Amino acid sequence: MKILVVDDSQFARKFIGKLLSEHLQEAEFEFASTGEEGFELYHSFNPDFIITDLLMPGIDGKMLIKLIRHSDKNVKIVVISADVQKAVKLEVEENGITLFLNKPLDQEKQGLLLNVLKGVN
Amino acid sequence: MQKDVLVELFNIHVGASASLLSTMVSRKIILSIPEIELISGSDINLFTFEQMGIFDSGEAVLSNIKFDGEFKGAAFILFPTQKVKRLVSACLGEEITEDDLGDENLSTDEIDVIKEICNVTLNSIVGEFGNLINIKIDFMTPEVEFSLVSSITPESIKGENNYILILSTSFFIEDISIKGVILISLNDTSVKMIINKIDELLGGQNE
Repeated sequence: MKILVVDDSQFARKFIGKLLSEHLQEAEFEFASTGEEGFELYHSFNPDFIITDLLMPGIDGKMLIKLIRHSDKNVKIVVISADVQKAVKLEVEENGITLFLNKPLDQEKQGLLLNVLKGVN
Repeated sequence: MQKDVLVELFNIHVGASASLLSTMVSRKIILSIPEIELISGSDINLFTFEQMGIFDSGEAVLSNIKFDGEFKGAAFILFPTQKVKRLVSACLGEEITEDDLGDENLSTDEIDVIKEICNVTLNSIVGEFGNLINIKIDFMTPEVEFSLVSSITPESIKGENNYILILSTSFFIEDISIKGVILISLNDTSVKMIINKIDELLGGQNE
């Protein structure tokens, strides 16, 4: 399984990377700190899952999802954002995301994320 | 009565934000009930906080997140520099030494963590107002600067906005008490939106 993590916060990237590598030992990871880098890695790395933040300078998470969905309806996208607004969640859900989680990830949210990545319903 | 409702709303949002911070640092965090004041932007005086002993050394870390759309303004968190290092080390799960505390500079990693704290905390407080008023607020990416409290100008807080909501609060993290200030500058329309919503919640009781 290939997982691309896009977040401008190094702290968030490290946290997500550590969590996933501990529980998904077979997975391959790539990390991007901007939407632009994330879009490039989406093409070159060809991930099965994209985990993205929303609030980023330049191409933000919302735009990144739209760009990807323009040509790819299949790749699974998980949003992990500090934005607690229902309107924002509805907006990104319209673009076909698999899961929306609010930062920070407590035990329960970590479990939800891992279940989605492992394909557990 | 409008102020009572506003205090209650902020208590709920600040409480939620404390819970989020607790998750980040894996320690119990209690945020004291904030003292809330809505003042005219031109009346902001950061020296008051220095006098209150919040910024003993006169140095502060000022992190902010601007927001746009129908609900427009900027939210700031001011922490004393030395105390913020303790908060950051708790987030990173690292022990902090006296030498670290003596170092006034913030590393790139520390700034990154402060941005994420600012992102999570202020999104939680301001974003819930978006949910309450039923509008979408567009947030910009957070910024962090290290400054002397005395060199933070009222204009840098006020910007183009006429009102400032001041929330004086304390973060209690196990044995560490970190006093900080949250400032939210808002334009006239945003303040009216909040007041109208409060009046709606009060159902005319304020008339």
